[in-house]
This record gives sequence, structure tokens and C-alpha cells, in this order.
Amino acid sequence: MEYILNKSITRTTEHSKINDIHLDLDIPSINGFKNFKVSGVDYKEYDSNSFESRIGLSFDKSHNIDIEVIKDNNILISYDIDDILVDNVNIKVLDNINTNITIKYTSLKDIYHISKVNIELGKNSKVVLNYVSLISKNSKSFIALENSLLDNSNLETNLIDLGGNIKVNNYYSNLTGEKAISTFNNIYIVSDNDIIDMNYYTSILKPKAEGYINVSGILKDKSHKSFKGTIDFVKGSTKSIGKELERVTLLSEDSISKSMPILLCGEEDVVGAHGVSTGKIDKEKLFYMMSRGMSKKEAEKLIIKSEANIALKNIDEDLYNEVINKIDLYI
Amino acid sequence: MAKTQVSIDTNIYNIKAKDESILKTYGLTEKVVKEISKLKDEPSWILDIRLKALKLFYEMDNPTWGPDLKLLDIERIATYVKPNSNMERNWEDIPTEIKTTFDRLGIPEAEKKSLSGVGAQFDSEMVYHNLEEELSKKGVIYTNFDEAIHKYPELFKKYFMKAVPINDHKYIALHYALFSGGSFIYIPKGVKLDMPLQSYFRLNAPGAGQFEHTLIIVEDDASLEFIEGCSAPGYNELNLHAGCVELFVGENAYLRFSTIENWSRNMLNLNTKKCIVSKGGKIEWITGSFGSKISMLYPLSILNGEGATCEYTGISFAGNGQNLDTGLKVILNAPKTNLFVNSKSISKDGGICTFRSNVDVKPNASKANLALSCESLMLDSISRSDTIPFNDIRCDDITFSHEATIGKISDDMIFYLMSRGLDEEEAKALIVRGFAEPISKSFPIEYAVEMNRLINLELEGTIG
Amino acid sequence: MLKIHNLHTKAQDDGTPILKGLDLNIGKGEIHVIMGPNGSGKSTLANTIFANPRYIITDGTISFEGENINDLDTPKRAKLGMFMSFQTPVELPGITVANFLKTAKTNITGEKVNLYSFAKETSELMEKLNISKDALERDLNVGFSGGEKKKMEMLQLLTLNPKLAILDETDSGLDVDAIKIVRDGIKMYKNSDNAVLIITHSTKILEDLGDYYVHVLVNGKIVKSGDSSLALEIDKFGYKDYLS
Repeated sequence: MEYILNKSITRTTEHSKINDIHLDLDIPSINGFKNFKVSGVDYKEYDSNSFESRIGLSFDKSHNIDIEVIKDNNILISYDIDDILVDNVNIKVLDNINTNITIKYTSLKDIYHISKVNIELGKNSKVVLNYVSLISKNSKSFIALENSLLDNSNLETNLIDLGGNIKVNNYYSNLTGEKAISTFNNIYIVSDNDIIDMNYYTSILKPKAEGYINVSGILKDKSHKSFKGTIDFVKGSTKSIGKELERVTLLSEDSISKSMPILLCGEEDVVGAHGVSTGKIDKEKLFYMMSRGMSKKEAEKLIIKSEANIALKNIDEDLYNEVINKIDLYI
Repeated sequence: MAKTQVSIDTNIYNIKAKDESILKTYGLTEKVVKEISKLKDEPSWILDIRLKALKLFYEMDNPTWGPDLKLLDIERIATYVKPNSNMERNWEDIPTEIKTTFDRLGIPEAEKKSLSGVGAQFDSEMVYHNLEEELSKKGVIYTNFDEAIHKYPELFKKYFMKAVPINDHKYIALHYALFSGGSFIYIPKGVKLDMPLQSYFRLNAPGAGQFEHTLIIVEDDASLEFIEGCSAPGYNELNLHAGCVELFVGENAYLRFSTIENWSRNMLNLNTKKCIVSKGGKIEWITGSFGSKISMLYPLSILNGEGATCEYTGISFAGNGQNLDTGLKVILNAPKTNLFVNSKSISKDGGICTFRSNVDVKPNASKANLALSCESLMLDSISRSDTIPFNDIRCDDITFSHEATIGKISDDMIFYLMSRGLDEEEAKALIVRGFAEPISKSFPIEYAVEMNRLINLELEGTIG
Repeated sequence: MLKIHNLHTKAQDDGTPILKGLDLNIGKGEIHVIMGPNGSGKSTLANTIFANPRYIITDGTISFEGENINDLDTPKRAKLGMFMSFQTPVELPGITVANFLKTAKTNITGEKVNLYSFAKETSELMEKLNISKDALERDLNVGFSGGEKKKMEMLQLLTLNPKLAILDETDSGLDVDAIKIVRDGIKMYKNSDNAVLIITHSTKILEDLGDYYVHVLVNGKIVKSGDSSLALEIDKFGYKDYLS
């Protein structure tokens, strides 16, 4: 069945084919789902009869987890997916809380994963949210991350997106608090005939807030990437800062890289910037490492893994190793 | 208050010459198109193109993105306005009304000082064309469009519509139905002009449309600098500019195409410009957009030969009621091609500036080198500045970087200048002119001075 | 020439009080030096004298040549005959050095400059300061090294020839070259009719300057004044004696 997904708010010429993504998908029907674990916090689990996300897929059944974080702690949620999972995690972090939340997805078989995580931060709270997708190579994943931040809160979201041959990601950050800061770090690798479509949006509504979007990706073989990033300075966001940076490393001559880094501005006293750089691995860096005895392949791997660190600074050691090993496999 | 009023009164662009046109057509029908063609005594194959384009215009839709074009009611646009003058080669022979307008805009003066040739178009027809004797002898052709169709048919047929096809978009179809006036320029192999050629387009009749077509061919190893100036006085009715520019740059040839646009605030500017660059050739676009109510301008450069280069330097200044949606499109279709973009925009008093770009790097563009930079200045909180760049990259062996920044005039800069005796408004004006300097310095001095004047006029809009 | 009485200022963005009752008197022909530990308010003083909107006067007065200037804005103060050399001068893209000097001179004197004599004067000053002629066509401070930026400030000082020169040299990373440039600039500028206020960390700038007054600024107030021997003492022993 044909779907038109991840529709962009800011539209441009149709022939660029970047306004949305057209996909032909054969989505299996959903059964119950019990293969998950939550630690570090109390939670409410239930099945809902309606699911919708900004990506555009809707279902009449989803697995929901509601969490209210009332004290500082580390939280781990993990899912192991068998066939298809439609999950919706709602997290509410109260005022003045510091917490580190990791949500991890794995699968041995090729599966469908449609996911939505919605997190709200109370005043002065500080949260790191790691979303780690380690599903199998030929799975299909549709991840929607949403957040809204109150005064003085700080959210760092790290999306580590490995696995899957069709990946559609959506990020929507609503800075509704003064001096709120949201940072989004995303790393991904695509190869063979993989397709990845990203639509990331940060809306800055109040003064002295900061929004950052950093994406670093590797394209191999005949993979196809579409990136849309938007920083939107809405009137009222005086003295705010918004920056987006996209780095794309091309490891083959047949890959396709499309980018649309958008800056929208309706407020005077702001600092907005975006940068995109696309190309092969830095020759200078390669040469330097090879002159220290590394082979080209080893040097490439090391450079790629070091770039991946933008999203791996606040992750548990075991998981870090798992991720690095997976990256090693892929490159 | 007084300051602003004085500026508007002495705004030389706002002179309205008495409308002495001897023919006007309104609306868009087969009859109108046939009438225009008959008046120009065109060969039948041109009329066929016009009629085909007319059909396409009614079949095609407005774009689904960008500024809203619903305002445009083609029935109310004067689609052809013949001024009361024939094509003259001698400035003195032009009818007084028309001559006065151009005199006040400084056109013949500029010619005497720093141009190789001048063309002046008033409403729908060229009224003046002059080319240095020497250049004619070298084989340089600079003539108006109608004459080109009759005098150089092979050359004309070889290039006409080869860059911009008839169905490119709705307003090109409109253009090909109604095109009138414009310049035809041919620079033969190896000829390098050391002073620029200039065309000036002036829309005088209220509610008129301008559909000029400019065709420039620069053969291998030749070089040309071309300056285009456009303006119209302010009326309440809507004026439409749906012109077309087709440029061909030969091997190792060079073309600098400079435009200062100061259409009045009732103008819809939907101009189309395309350039095809051959091996080793270079196209330089220099653009200053100050006027018009709505502008949609995306010059397209197709880099078709190894080592072809496109450089784009542009500034837009949107004030009250203006929506300037500009940018560029480039297709890199050969190895070692280059793209350098330096785009600046200023938004003020509720003006909207949008930078929209489309960069296509094809798989065969190995060792291509691209650097794009966009800077936007917001002068208050009621205006808008949006940057919407799109890149499609299909070759890995390239160097590509794109940066954009948005901000306001830094407080530190203002304080520094104030500590040297400038008051706040003067400091801002100096900083804004400095911001625009990379563009103004690319124009001949008269235009640079003019551009600074335009910037000052725009800035003064808020005083009082 | 400059009289500051009981000056209290606070930061504009968060209201923190910075100067807490500062008094200072500078007469014609004098050189005054303000020293003090980090955060004592040295840069604030220079910026307040020049009405930088980042700081707000909450009490006290500043008078220049007998006239209370509390309510005068920055350009008016410049036109009265004050000049400030900035610690880190901003870059002004698109504005050439030549253009900037002409504009500043015109604004401060209130008269259009005679281009010929101005060009001659400027090129003589540039030679004295060892600035190459092609700097005139460069955009002011864009891509300039620290030393080159200092030279630009000194060139402006000598071109505009104010009654009072305030030199904000609190940058503790000041390199040897830059220090020499500022010292030479002061020597070229100084005469018995004008005055200099230097705000600095390092006494190196004061070598060879003849007689000068030293004031120690701690926690928003001047806690000790003296002559050049006070500067040498601070060089040796630091500010610990004054930090109570």
C-alpha cells in the first residue's frame, strides 16, 4: 500500500521530492506485545486503541507506557521486537529533576517498528534521553520523538539509529519555556539500497532559549538519504540561539544525499546558524592516521566512530560498546 | 516625518511620464496575441509559438509554494503598450516625455562615461539602442529583439528558447505568449568587451505588463559584462513583470550579468533567467533586489562542461508590504565544476525575505567544489527572514559546504560607531551599507552610488 | 577635565551592581591609571563613561569640562571630545578603514573634511605608527591580528585627537607587540592640554610614560590612589593588601 509520510511544514518545488516521502509498505497486523522491560521508575502499561504520530501512520492498537519521573534516577526501557511493534512512551518529568533515560530496541528478525516518544520537562529539570535502535538490517522503522520544555529546563536527545533498510524519523521540539535548551544529536548509517528520511523541527517560542540539531551520518553503496531540519524562531523568542549542523560522509559514489536545512525567522534579536558539509572522509585526517601505522580501513573506522560520539556521550558503558560493535559491523 | 516625505517627493523613480502610448491591449486572448504579432510583422512560426504558449498558460497551475499569486488577474494587466516612439539610434530623436524620464534616471550620462552600449526600453518596446562603432565592426551584435528576428534569423533560431522551454512554468508560458522588446546580444569568438553593455527597462503605463526577452550569446573565449536596470513608478494598479533571460556562455568564455531591480511596490516580479555554461566558461550573477511587491527570482545555471563555474552574489532588501522570494538554482553536470554563492538579505518593517536555492550535483560532477553562504539581517521583530536551501548530491568526490546565519545588527558594532560620533541611525545605515558592500562594489560606480541611495531610502522608511 | 562623583552602576541585563561609589578627578595634562583584580569593574568604568547601554547609572554624576553628562548619549559624548580605545575592537565588514576614518572625523568635528589635507595627515600618521598604506582599503578590523587592531585604535586616537583618551587595556593576554603599540600611541598623543585614562592589568604599558596617577579599583570602588610607585608595588605584590 502507498503511503505519503513525514510531510514537511515548509514546502518547496515538487520535483525535489523532499516535501514528503512516498513508500510502498506491507504492514502486518498487530497482536499483543509483552516483550519489554522497564527499570528505575514506576510506570503504567496499557494497550491503547488509537495511535498517531507526526510521521503520518495511524493504527487502532498500540502498546503504551506512561511514566512520571518524580526523583533523580536512571531509567532503562528495553523492547525486543518479534514481528511488529507499535509503541507509545509518554514521559513527564517534574520540576527540578535530573534524570537519564535510555530506550532501547532490538530485534533478531526483520520487523516493523512504529514508535512515538513524547517527553515533557518541568521547570529546571535536566534530562538526557537516549533512543537506541539496534533492530535487524532489513527491518522498517518509523520513529517520532516529541518534546516540550518549560522554563530553564534542558533536554538532550540522542537518537542512535542503526539497522533497518527503511527508516523514517521525525523530531519535534517545542521550546515553550524561557531559557529552555533542547539538543538533538542523531547518528545513522545506511548502506545497500536503504532509504532514510528525516524531518527534524525545533520551534523556539520564548526568550533566551536554545535549540540545537546535530546530525552525523554515513552513506554507503546505493543508499538514499533525505534530511529536512528546521529551526523556527517564532516572534517572542528574543535573544535565543538556534543552530543546526549536518555532516554527511559519503563512502560510495552511488549514494544520494538530499538536504534541506531550513532557518525560519520572525524575531529580530536572535542568533541562527546552519551548516552542512558533505563529502568523503577528510583526506588530511586519513593521512595523519596512516602515517601513524594504521591501514586506510582502520583509519576510516576510527574516524567514523569518533564522529558517532556526538550522540554517545551520555550513554551507559555496556550499551556504548554494543553500539560501537554494531557500527563496526556496518562499516 | 518631514525627512521621509522629502525623500518620497524627490524619489526619481516615481516620475510618471504622461501616458502617450499609441496602442494598448488588455487581457489575454488569441485575438490580442495575434494583434501583437501582426504589429511586429513577425514570421508565422513565431505566432505559432505565441498561440501554443497561450494555451499552456491557461492549462498550468500556480506554484504550490512560495508567495501567494492570487492577486494577479491577467485580465486587468495591459499586455502590450506601444510607446509613442520608434526605435531610435540617436538619443536626441527620442520623444521628449520618454527622453526626460531616462535623462532623470541618468541613463545617457552613464553611457557617455562608462558603457559600450545602451538599450532603453519604455513599456513594451525598445526605444533606444546604441552600440560603439568599433564593436559593430568586430561583429558584436546588440540590437532589439524584433530586429534580431528579422535581421539574424539563423542565429536567432539556433538559440531562442533553448535555455528556457515553453512549459517551464505558468509564467513562462505567459511570457512566450506576450513577449515584446528586450535585447539580442551576440559576442563573436574571442572578442572581449572592456566596458559593459547596459539595458534599462522602464515600465511607465499604469497596469502594464512587461514581457521582455533578453538573449545573450557569448561565444568561445569571448567576454561580456551586461548590466540590467529596471524600474517603474508607483501606481495603485498591479504591474506584472514576466520577462525572460536566456544566456549562453561558450567554452572559456565569461559573462557577468548584473541586475539592479527597483520595481515599484505595486509590481509582481516573476522573471525567469537561465544560463547554460560550456567547458571552462564562467557565469557571474550580481543581483540587487529592492523593489516590487512580490518577487520570485531563481536564476538557473546549468554547468554543462568540465571546469564550468557559477558565481552568485546577491542582496535583497524587503520593506513594508514586500515579499521577496529569491535565490538560485544550479545544476552541476560535469567534472571540476564550481559554485560560489554569497547571498545577503535584509528585512524591515514587516517585509519578508526568503532565500530559496536548489543545488543539484549530478553523479558525473566529480571534483566539484561548492561553497554557499547566506546571511540575513533582521532589523525589527515584525519582519521575516526565511532560508530554505535544498541540495541533492549524487557524487561523492566533491567538496561541499553550506552556511547560513540570521541575526540582527550587533549591539557592539553600534556602540563602537556611536563612540566615534555617529548617532544610532547613522551607525545602522553604515553597517547595513557595509553588509551590502560585496554586491555594490561589483557594479560600476554610478550603480554602486545608486544602490547605496536605495539602501538609505529603504532605511529611512522608519524614521518619523 | 573629567570629574566622577559617587558613581554607582548596575548591569542592564540582570541588575547586578558593579560600581559602588566611585570618585575620580582627571585634570588637563594628566595621565591616570586604573588597576584592579578581575571583576572589580574596570571595563565597566570605561564603558559607563561612554554610555554603553549594557550599564545603567543608579547614582552619582559624571562631568566633562564642568558639564554633567549623565544624560548624554554616546555620540554626543564623543563629540564633546572623548575617545575610547576598545579592548577587542569589533570587525566592520564592508566598511573600509579609509571610509571609516573620514566618517568619524566628519561626525566628530561636525564639518566635512578637506579630502586632500585629511589624506596627507592620515598617511603621515600611518607612517609614524608603522601601518602599511594598503590597510586603508581593507575592511576595518576584519581578519586583523591583535596588534593590527590595536594600531587601528591608535590611528583613530591620533586622527580624531580628542581632549580625553580612555584606553581600555584590561585584556590580560596582551602581547608584547600590542603593548608597545599602545605605549607609542600614547606618547605621540599626549600633550599638556589633553588627558589620558588607562585601564589595565599590566604595568608594562606604563613604562616610559613619565608621571602618572594610579588608582586601585576593588569591588566597584577606588580603595587607594598614589603615583607610579603604587603601580610598581602592585606589580610586585599583587592586590592582596587591598582585597579586604
